[in-house]
Amino acid sequence: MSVIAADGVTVRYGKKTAVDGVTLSVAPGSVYALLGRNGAGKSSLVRALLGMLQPARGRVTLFGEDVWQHRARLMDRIGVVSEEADAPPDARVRDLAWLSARMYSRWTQGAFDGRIDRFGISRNARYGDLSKGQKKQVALALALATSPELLVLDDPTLGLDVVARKSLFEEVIADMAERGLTVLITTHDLSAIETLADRIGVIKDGKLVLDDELEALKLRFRRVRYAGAPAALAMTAASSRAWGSGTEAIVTDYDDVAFERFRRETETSESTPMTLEEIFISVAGEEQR
Amino acid sequence: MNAALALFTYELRAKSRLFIGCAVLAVVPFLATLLPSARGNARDVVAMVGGFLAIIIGLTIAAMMSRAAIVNELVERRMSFWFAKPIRPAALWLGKASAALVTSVLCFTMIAVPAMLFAGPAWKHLWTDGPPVLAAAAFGMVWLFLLGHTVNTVTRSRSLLLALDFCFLLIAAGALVLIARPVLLGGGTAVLKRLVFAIVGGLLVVAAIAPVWQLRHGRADIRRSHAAFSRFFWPCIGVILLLAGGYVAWLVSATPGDLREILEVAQPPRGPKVLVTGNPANRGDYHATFIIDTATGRYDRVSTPPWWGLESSKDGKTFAWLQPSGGFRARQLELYVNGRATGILTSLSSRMVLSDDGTRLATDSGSTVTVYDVATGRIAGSAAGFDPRSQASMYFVTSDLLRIIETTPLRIAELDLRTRRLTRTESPLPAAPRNGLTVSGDGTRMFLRGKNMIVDARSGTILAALEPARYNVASMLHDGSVVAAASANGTAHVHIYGPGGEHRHELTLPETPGLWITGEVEGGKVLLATRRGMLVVDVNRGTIVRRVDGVRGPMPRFSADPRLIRYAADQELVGRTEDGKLVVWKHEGRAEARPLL
Repeated sequence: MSVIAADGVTVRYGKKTAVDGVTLSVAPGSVYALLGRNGAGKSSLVRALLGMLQPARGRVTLFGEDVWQHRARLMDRIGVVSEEADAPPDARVRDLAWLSARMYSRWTQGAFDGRIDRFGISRNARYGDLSKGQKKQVALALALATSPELLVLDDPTLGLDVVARKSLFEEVIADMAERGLTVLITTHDLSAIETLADRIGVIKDGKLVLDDELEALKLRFRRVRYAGAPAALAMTAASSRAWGSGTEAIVTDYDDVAFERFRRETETSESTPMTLEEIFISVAGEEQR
Repeated sequence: MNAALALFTYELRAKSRLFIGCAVLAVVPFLATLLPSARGNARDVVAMVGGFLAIIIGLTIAAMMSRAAIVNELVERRMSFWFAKPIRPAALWLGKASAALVTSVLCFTMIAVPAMLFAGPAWKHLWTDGPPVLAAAAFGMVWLFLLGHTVNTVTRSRSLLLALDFCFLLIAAGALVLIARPVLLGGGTAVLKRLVFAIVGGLLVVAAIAPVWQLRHGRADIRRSHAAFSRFFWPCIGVILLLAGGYVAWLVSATPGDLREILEVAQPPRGPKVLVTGNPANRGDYHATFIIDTATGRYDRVSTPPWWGLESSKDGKTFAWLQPSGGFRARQLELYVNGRATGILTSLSSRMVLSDDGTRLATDSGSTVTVYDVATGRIAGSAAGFDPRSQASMYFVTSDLLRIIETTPLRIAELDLRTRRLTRTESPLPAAPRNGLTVSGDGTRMFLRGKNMIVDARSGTILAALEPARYNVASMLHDGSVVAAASANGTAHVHIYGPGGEHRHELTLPETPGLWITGEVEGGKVLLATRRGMLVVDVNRGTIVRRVDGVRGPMPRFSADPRLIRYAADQELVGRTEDGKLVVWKHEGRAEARPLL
């Protein structure tokens, strides 16, 4: 059974469609990275997945239960780090922990204290007085101390420096290793997620345009350069452009056998693997001709 | 419930700085005693300053909390923090709302209690012996919090829905006016008060529940939250208004048969119509009014029971009276004819008279007399410069001539509506009694009770003087003769004088209490009311020709028109039995009175 299952989810704000018929599923123990440009609809989708926003169409289930109907009960199994620092700014760190301890059935004070100490944050500090990075760290410490089965990180590294980013991911990785945590993450930090994610979803203009295992993506997506017109290539190209006297194409269904056949037919051709960032740009970036 | 309690405790802990601030403010009433003007009455000063400060702080904090509890977090996009937690919307609202209200009350208490303990009796005298100010303040805190939350939700979402809310608000306000107006016009102030309490109570309940719906369906998004709130709030308000409207519809649907107490009966001299006002059963102090046809029993319901100056025309086709304008502005009165507003507004002190044919109407607003054309509502003429303290009576001699009688000094003014000229004639008499002035049917002669004189009603010259006697009641009849009654030793003596003042007859009645001359009937008969019943006296023969026991009425109305009402010879008369039932009886024959309703 999927931990997260979205079926044709559409979110609208008035006449504007923010999420358009998204269907995805996240397997237990996996890390699903939801990528997209700013305004693509990631946060709206995450809010719908967490039962904070009612979809205009479609349905979301978490652990097999409808999230809109059973949000309060499901949230006991889910840790959330929001995109915005949304805890009450007047609250002290220890008060936030006190409140969480009374709301979550599996709260572990030791885990919270340990992380807060590692992050070097005072328990008496008011949340509003913390730096952006510290707020994220407190949010993460609160989320992980609830011993969640699913961790949802909505752009957790936004505005963080390199050190803070690294320590945040280390905490997540450590928890995953310890408890087989399922993670849904939205981020722009593609290099970090490349080492962490099992599956990638790319959302563009509200539509999920890509949803595949990371390894499969890397096999499927190749940059192919060859002498000849764009039409000569027999594989599906996400984009192509003139490259010297030849063509450079981003291929989305790369096949070794087909490429070998093609290479024999053309005078010069080469294929190079792509990074996640390059794949993302080719899928979510501006259309190129 | 645990989550709500945890949130409640957390919210209170988060207000620690506010509580410290209130503890500091609690010193202010005691500091006020250091003012020079406070010396010698320190307890009074502490009670007054402490009470007012506590109320102001309590209300202010309630208003602030209404903004901070939910809406600020929605606007600042921090509500996701709560919706990412295992807490239900009802628990979230309950925890936050109860913490906000308890915070307001605690802040109030922190300032009030030290002042109360110090001031002792002064506090009791100022705050608990009189009107329930502190209870009102507590209610105000709840009200401000819930109303504040409602207003903040709809205004701070910056949603176009605000326009829709505004439309609904206007519709609700309009519906409220429509609901309240007939009750108020019907004099049902106690009913209206209960209705307002019920509506306000319902509104409070809806405002207390709506945020649960708001959070349940709108969750972390301010606009969806606003939409969810409005989707719950307005239908509920609609239901409350529908219920209130249904109640008022039932209230005003009373029939003459529902009247358990008759308050006013107005019977014109001719025609079968009679206007009846009374309290219907089970409808509190609401007054229902009907114009009833005594011949057929059919009735028309009048939605605006007479509030002031009820008059009827001689032909019995027109009834006119005054009501507070719009039902609310008590400083102005609106004229109604046969239950319909004429659009004529006049000031509060107005009295009025109708012309015999009901086409003209004169109002007296103290120093100014204004005549209106009833059909058009236009002013046909007016005259000013009267002394409100001495103006006694006025009547239409014809529909174009209004005569106004001032008593101190005795002066007769005539307003000719064709020429729009006012003429004033001084009487040789220096003054006339304000009460007890009656005029003959043709308006040419008047009788002054107290002075016992018959005077020319046009010039004020003395025509005749009756033998000196102290009459309790007296009235000039249509033909200028005078009926006067005096009580002595448990009996009443009724004297009948001719138009020239000559004594014609004397009757002795065994029953004196409650003796009234209530009208006359064509053919020289006068109606007397006693506690025991009605008497019909033949003034030509000086004998009682009919006695109807157990019935009183028709009774005289307090009118500015000084002419005694003169019923047609064939007119059935309407009176009331001792148990308050309306009956119809005839001035001649021996037939028993029959029930009207």
